[in-house]
Amino acid sequence: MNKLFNPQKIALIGATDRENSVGEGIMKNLLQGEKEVFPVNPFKEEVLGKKTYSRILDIEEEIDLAIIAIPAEKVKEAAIDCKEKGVGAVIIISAGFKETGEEGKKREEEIKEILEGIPLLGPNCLGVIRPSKGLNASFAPVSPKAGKIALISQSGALIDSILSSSEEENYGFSVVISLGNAAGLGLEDFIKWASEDEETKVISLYIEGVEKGRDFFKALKESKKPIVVLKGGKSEKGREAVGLHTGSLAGEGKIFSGVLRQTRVKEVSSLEELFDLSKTLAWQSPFRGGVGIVTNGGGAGVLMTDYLEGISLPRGEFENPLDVLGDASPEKYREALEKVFSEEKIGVVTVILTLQIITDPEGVAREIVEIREKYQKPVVTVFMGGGEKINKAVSFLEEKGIPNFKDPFRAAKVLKALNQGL
Amino acid sequence: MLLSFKEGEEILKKYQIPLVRSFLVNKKEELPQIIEEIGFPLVMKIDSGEIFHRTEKGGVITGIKSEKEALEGLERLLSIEKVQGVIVQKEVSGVEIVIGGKRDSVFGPVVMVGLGGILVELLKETVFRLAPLEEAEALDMIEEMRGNEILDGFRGKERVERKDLANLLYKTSLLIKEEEDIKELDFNPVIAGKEILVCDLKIVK
Repeated sequence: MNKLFNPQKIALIGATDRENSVGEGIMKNLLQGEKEVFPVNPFKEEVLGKKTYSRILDIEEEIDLAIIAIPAEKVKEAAIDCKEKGVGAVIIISAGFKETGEEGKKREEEIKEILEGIPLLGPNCLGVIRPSKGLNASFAPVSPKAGKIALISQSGALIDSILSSSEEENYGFSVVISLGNAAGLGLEDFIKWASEDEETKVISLYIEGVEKGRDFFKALKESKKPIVVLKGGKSEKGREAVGLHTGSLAGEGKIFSGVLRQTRVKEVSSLEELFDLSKTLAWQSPFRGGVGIVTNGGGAGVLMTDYLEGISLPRGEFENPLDVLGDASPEKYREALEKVFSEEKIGVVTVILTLQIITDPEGVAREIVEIREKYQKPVVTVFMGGGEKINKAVSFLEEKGIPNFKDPFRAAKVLKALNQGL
Repeated sequence: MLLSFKEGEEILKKYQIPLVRSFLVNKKEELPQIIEEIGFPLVMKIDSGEIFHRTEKGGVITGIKSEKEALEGLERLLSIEKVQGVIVQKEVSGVEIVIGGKRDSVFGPVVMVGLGGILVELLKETVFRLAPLEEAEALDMIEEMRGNEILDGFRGKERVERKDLANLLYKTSLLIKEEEDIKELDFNPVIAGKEILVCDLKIVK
């Protein structure tokens, strides 16, 4: 799969400079990187300053990756050319296959057969992005930054919206894969690959359905990286019921959730939660022990305590939550943090900050970063609200790998998910 | 095809899944000796390869406390259409649990557990796993079941050994895995007290 994720020479079949077309979008994204790009288009001399070829077979150099973005009826011909050219991998962006009915299904089968033995992504997908290698082989409108999250999604459109929110939320990706119809490589293959990938620390999946249930189960079970899953389409209608209780109760979502729990995979129920958890797992480790809370606002501490019900909040020589009061300076925070971090029973610390008239968020953020270095315990922060002062402090924290959540509820959910007992 | 009680009993025996003491009766002359052996109270239910929901046909009588009640009950049950015999069982008490298994088109053999009684279908509080199970997985399944605290003795109810229930789940998971021609099965209820016993079963091939 190296040819798919780190190609040097890329051919784009269907390259064009027609504004707002898929072919133009991919071309522009490819040109952002440092790869050699060979546009293929029999009707044009030049696309975005690059000489075009009328067929992939006209290119003299060897091609690592061929991307096909032309109407579905013409894909077969292009696939035959790719096979003859001996390309290293193929991505078919084009739609109009299995998802459209019988005829499309037949078309997909044919192409699958032609490309047998060549790693194939798609058809009907957004493409693939590998930021660290300067590869954006997709028509996503945003190029995300490099990071440690491997995002694998059965929905292409969701990827677009995730990528645009990743900018604000400061997380990046080791890889972004849009599965499409998965005629060649499937969900299980990419989970296995990401599990071995050195850049990946956490695998985030958006899934609507699996076909090979047991292969999926095995890939989850054997993954060396934590996995977080958001499942779409969890309606509880039973299937194949033969008249007994078990069948009528076995909605798709029920069995799926059981499989996730059986393989110790975290299931979440919203996109926000998917990335709150993924981001934290990308930067920090799951923890053992209790949670220590330091706050400069009583109410926020109370809410956090409520949300953390069922999780141990040990006390040492201090109250937990430890309220440093509204007028707390960075020094006051430091003193409190020192007490909480040094307590053995505390496995993770959460620091809450509400902006009050004399609060210095950046100063507090710096103290948090320093003390975490000293004690090497995980920490998540809840710097609440917005505005310049808070945003600056949050950027600083997240650059240092400390995830911030603006609502204690979100932080508590993450802490509960990462808690592995005492 | 719904298996008869006898066929089901055989399969349970093969996997050492404990069934409450049960006798299949066709004639009233057989009753006195059974009563002598297991005593009261008794439960009686119809055995039929065609009737899926016995209670809807009035095919279950519980709390039988005398020979007279037993004889009258037997006569009535045997008169129901398509009934091949009547199952006579000792009535046991404890926490009602439902255990099931099925062959899913995507995931293959799966096993299910939930707290039982008629509420199971309303609350849909059931937990699934792929079969076969490992012991720790079976224990975790019980842990996930909402209301599982009832197993630890609630309002004077008998405490149920979690590892015994886990063991039963494990055996059921083996059964559904190995018996490839079984499409689906229900053990409902399984009654868990000092012992954990399957009290009724339906197996579809």
